[in-house]
Amino acid sequence: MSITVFFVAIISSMLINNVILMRFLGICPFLGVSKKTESAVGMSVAVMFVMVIASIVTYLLYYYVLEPNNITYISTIAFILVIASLVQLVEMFIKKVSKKLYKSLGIYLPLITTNCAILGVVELNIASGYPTDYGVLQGLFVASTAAFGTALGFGLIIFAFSSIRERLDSANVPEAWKGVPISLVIAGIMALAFLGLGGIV
Amino acid sequence: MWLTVGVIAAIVVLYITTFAMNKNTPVPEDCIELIDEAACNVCNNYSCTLKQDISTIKDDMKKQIKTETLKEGK
Repeated sequence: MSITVFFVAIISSMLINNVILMRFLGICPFLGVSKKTESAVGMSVAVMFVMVIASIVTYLLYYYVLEPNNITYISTIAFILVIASLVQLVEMFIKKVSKKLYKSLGIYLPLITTNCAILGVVELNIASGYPTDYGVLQGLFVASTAAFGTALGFGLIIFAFSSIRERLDSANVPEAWKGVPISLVIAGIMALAFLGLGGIV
Repeated sequence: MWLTVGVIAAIVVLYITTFAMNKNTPVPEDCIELIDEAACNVCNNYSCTLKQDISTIKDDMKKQIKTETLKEGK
């Protein structure tokens, strides 16, 4: 398997099939945590952390437990519970290991449990059928790379959006457009811009 | 059938265990306020009185800064 596969997986999941602007997943944190750049960065790192780990764990669960036993129909319920457990574990680990890390990243972890982007990426990894193209183990690497790329895309958009919103705070916006309305218009323009990247890979 | 129930039960038990373990791990003292602030920022319940208070305070502060800068400009 060449390095191109990983490169394509990252570029495709980060820019072309961006989780927020193209798949419309994770809109809640996109609007909620993008008021300040500082919190946007913290949330992005936390999402990246959980997304990659969740992808690896759920991929292994699906291909080593659910599929061999022919019980793939419970995958969504199983994934939701696995992601929730994982978030609890990661939060507990960070609480114990590093106060500094908890301060910058851990405070966003409870909010990630309800982030549909995580479940979306996990389901997409399974739907992509990587094992048929690369085998189960190599498919795991591609799936985790795709998850990493998706998290990078999530971070990129939420960071850019938070920078725009910070500038909007001091702009002279009409009263009716202040807050969420103008933010949604900007999100729409950003989605149109990203649509132009389709066809690169 | 039993396998399905067993797998779901195992994951539920895993979740309850991790939840209990996490709850029993104390949060660093200086982070408690930050957690509340982050949760409040993300919440989109605009009928929440606490959120309204915060936004009113922010608006007042903005107005104050604007008037002060205007005075300094004069």
